Amino acid sequence: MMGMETISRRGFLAAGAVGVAMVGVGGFGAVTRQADAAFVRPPGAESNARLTAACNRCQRCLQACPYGIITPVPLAGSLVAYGTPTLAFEQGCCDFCMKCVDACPTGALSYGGAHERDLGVALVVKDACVAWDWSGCTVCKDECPVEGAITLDDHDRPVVHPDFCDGCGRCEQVCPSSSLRAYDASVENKGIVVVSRASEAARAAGAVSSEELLAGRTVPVALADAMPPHTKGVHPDGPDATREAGDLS
Amino acid sequence: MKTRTRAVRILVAAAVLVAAVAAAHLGGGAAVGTLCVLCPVGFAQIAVASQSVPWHLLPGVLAVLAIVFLLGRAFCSWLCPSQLLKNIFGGHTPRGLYGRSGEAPKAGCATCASATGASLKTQGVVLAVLLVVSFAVEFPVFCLLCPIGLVFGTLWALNRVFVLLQPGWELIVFPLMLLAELFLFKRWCAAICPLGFFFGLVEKARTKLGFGVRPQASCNTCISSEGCRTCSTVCPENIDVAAADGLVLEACTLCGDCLENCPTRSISLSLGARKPDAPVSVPVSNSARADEPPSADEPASAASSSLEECDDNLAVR
Repeated sequence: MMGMETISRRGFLAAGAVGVAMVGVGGFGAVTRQADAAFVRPPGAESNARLTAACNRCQRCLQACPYGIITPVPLAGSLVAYGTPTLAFEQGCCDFCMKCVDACPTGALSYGGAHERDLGVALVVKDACVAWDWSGCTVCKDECPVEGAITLDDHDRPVVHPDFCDGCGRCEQVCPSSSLRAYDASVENKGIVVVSRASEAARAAGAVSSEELLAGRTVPVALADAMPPHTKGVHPDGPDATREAGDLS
Repeated sequence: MKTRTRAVRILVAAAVLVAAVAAAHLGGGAAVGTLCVLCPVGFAQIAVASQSVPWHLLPGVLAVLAIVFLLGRAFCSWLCPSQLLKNIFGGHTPRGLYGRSGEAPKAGCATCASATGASLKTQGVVLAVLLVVSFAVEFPVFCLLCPIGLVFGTLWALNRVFVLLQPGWELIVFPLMLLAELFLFKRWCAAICPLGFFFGLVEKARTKLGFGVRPQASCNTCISSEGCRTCSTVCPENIDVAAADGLVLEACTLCGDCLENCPTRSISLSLGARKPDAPVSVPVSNSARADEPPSADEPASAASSSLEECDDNLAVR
């Protein structure tokens, strides 16, 4: 009986080929450290590496989001993180309703922890921001829901305060620079964008150029060098709205 | 060969995909996710990759295994998106889990009985490798290769193109990978699919307990003794249903082709294992068969031929 259950040559070859493919994909992921790539994640994602490990790419958070701002990482963005949720603020912004966290079946998005209400940090792009060329545009400051997260400097240019900003994306959503400059809605032309606090771009002090943003937007920095979550500022929307940021008890 | 059942299978599997895409567009409260939520392999991978057990996935995974215990591998032929592709593009003889040869096996084919055992081994090896790799690199590696995931990935990519006007590489890469996995790796389902490993284990337990429905030929009307091999030629798993016992039927995916094509309509889905083995579904010795009294009330010729057929099958093991 045991003799009849020997593995056929074709079955062995097929299983071997797939085993090699899996080791290859895994090795590629380990060498390139794509799991750490710094995407702007939905609320409750502890870290990029943790999300990539725990997410089963079931797309429930996408379906749960009432604003449709959660989108899967495309294959061109990352092989390892393909299908994991990231945020795109073209159509809306996050008000921390936590429906995505409630929908997540794996705990990849979960309550508690420093990143529960910290998506990233907004960055002013100096060659795209209209206020850097002509003063007068204060849309991001006016629309920002967090008191004190965006202020104007001496030249009436927006300045983001990372210890207040929770990365909700309202500024990026409403930034009119692309329509003021050209009728090109590509996200590169937004004058202010949200990036992950673990990204290279987030470390730049003050405004960045388009090139700097493009080069460092998803490039991860070492965990110790990552910008800490915001500690001040209150997001007025969403449940528990009166809770002080940083107070995670 | 009649293919009405196959058309129904295609419709059912396609309806699941349509429902998944529709649910994604309904948004709001209908966060149903994809089949990935229920995947036992995904559960195991995430548990080792994140080094914590995703308890919220467990009820769904157990429900799937319970359904397999009740209904057998009906998922493979009725719902699996990769089998859907085989049904659509596989021509007249879509390949089953075990690699259809297209011709009837020799009476009481000995290798069929061992097919499930061998495939469990290779599937188990694949599962072990993927768990070790997932643990080492801390992300679920098989999700990037899984044909079921690739079908959904292609659907989302199409969705992006038509709804968000964002074409992606997925549209080219995923269909090519699917093509390679299902039509070059012809034994994907039998030798590789780690989901099949879980299903195979449950199916083994089910066979041991003689539980659930299986296609069974009635010895009274079956004309296999007159040379009919219809059921085994239409069966995607090459099972000679007329002669099959519980052990061979482990490979059955309940596709229903044999029921539809049997010229005498002798095959029906019935509870428990094959009648002669009913009390014990594990291999029966010849002495057990000898105890069985020949049924006297049947027409002599039919009774003798059908019993002879049954005898052959018992002797095979």
